Amino acid sequence: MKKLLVNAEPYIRTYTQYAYPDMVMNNEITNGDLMVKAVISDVFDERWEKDAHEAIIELDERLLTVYENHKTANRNKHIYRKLEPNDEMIVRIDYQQFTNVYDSVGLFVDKSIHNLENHSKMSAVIGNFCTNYLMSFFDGIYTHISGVGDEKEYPIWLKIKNNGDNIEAFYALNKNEWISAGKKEIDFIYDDNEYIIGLFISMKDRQYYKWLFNNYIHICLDVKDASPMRFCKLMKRDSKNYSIHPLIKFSSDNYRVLGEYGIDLWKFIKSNINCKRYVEVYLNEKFVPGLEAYKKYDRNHESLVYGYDDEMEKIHISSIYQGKPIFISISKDKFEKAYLMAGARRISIYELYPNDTPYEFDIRGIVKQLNDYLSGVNPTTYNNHFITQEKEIFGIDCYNEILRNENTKNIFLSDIRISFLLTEHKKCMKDRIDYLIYKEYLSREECSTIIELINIAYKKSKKILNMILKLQKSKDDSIAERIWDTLKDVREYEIACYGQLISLLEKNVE
Amino acid sequence: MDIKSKVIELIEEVSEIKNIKPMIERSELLEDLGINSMVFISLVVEVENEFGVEFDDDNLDYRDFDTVTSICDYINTLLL
Repeated sequence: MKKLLVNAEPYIRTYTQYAYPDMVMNNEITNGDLMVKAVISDVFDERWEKDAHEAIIELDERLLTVYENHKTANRNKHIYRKLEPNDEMIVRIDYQQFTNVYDSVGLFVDKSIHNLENHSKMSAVIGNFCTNYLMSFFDGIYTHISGVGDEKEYPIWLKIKNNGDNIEAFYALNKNEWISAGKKEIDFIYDDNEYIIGLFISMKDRQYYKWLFNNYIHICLDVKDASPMRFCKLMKRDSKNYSIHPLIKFSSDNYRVLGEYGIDLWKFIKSNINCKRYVEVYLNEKFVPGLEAYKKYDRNHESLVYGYDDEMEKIHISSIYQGKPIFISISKDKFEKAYLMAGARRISIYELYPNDTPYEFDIRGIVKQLNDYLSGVNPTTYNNHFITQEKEIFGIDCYNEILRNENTKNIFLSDIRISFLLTEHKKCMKDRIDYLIYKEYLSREECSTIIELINIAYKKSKKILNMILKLQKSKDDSIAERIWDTLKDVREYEIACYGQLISLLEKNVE
Repeated sequence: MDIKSKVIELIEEVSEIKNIKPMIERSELLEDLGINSMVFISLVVEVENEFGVEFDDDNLDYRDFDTVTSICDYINTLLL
C-alpha cells in the first residue's frame, strides 16, 4: 500500500485544474515554518558555534529545529564545533522541507569556516538532498548514492567519523545498517587542529512564495464557454493552464505507453505512485461509486490518483463532488472500467519536484498587473509570439460583461461557478495584500483603507454567492436586482482598493 | 408548534437526515449536523415561507449561525 501526501482542503476548488495542483503542492513538506528537524549524537553545548544567517535555529540538548525567518536571504546555515582526533557525529533527519531542488541537510568536515558557502569545496560532506537522493562530496568530487532513490522515507541517518587522518562518511535507512559513502585521508594536525565538524542546512528562501505572490491573479470571462469564468495564467495548453509551476512538473504524454507498450492501467498507476507521481485521469463518473453521477448518467471528468492498496486491489482517488473534494477508494476493476468508458483517455502526471529557479519579488510587475486588471487588459497579448492569444474579457471588464444584457446576467445567475470564482479571487487578493505587509513592502498602518476596501469587496462577493443560491431555490426575482447592485458595489470597491494599492506601491518603489 | 420544533422539522426536511432530533439533542452545532451553505440556503427559503419573514441579504452565510438556537433567535427578531 502506498499513499502520497495530499492537502484535503485545497485552496481553490472552482475547477479541478486548480484544486489538484493545490492538493499536491500545499502539503506538509512544502508548507509551514518548520524547515528541518533532526537529532544528533552529540550534545549542543558551549563548544558549538552557529552561522545561522538570521534563521531561527533552536538547539535543545541533541535536538535541532530550524524555522523559516522570512527576512533571511538564500544562505546556507551551519552549526559546528572543532573536530576531535577521534570523533564521530551521527544525525537522524526526521523532517526536511522541500521547496527547492537544492535544499539539503547533512554533515560536513572541513579545514575552516571559509568554505561554508560552498559544500562542494569541503573536505567531506554527506547530505540528504530533497531531490530524493543522498550525496557525498570529498574535495569537490561528488557521489550520488544509488539504490536509495525514490523509496527513501524519513528518518534518515547520516554519520561522519574520523580516526586521526582517516575520515569516512556513512548513511543508513535503518539505523543499524551503516553503509559507507566514501572516505579519504586528511592532514589532521594533533597539536593545532583547524578542522571543524558540524551540520549544514541549505534551504532556499521559499522561491515558491515569491513566484506565487508575484502573480496578481487575473480573471477572465467568456459567457459562451463551458467554463465561463476562470483564473488567467500566461501559459495554457490542452485546456490546462498550469504548464509552468515552480513546485510541480507536469506531463501529459506518458499515458501513451499504455497502448503502445501494452502496459496495463493498474501497473501504470502503481509505478507512478511508487515514483511519487500523482496521476490525474479522466473517468466516466457513472462507474465511480460515491460520485454524483454514479449509476445515473455519463459524466467524464478528472480525478486525482494519489495511492493504491496492493492487497485489497484498490486505488485511492480524489474527485470533486458538489464543489468540494472527496476521497474515495475504488476497486481496480471499477477504476479501469470508468477509465475505459470515459470519452477522453487523457492522463496527466503531477510530480512534486521543486525547481532551482530563483524568483525575485517584482513590485513593478505587480503594479503593472494591477493596472492591467483595472484597465481590462488581456495579458496574453504580451506573449503571443509563443502562446495562443486568448479572446476573453479580462479583469474589471468582467463585471461590465456580466451586466451587459439579460443573457449574460442569466448565465451569471444560473452558473454558480462564476460567483464562486469571483469570491475566491477576492480572497486571493486579500492574501496578496497580506503578503505585501508580511514581507514589509507596506505597513499595516498605511494599508488600513486598502485592507478595509478589500475586506468589504470580499464580504460582498460572498453575499452575492449566497443571494444566487437563494434565488435558485426561491425564484424570487427581486433578489436579482439586489445582486446587480451588490455586483456594482464590488466593482467599485475593487477599483478604489487597487487604485490606492498602486499609488502606495509606486510611492514605495520610488 | 414552537419556532424551534418547526425549524428542526425543516432542517430534517432540507438536510434529508432522518430522525434528526436525537442528533440535535447531542449537539446543536450546525457543523455537527452537516449543514453546509447549500442546505442552509434551502432552510432559509423554507423558513421564509413558513414564518412569512425575509432574511436580510447580509445574513445568508451559514457560518454566521453556529447553532439551531441562533437561527431561532434570528427568526424571533424578524417576527418582532
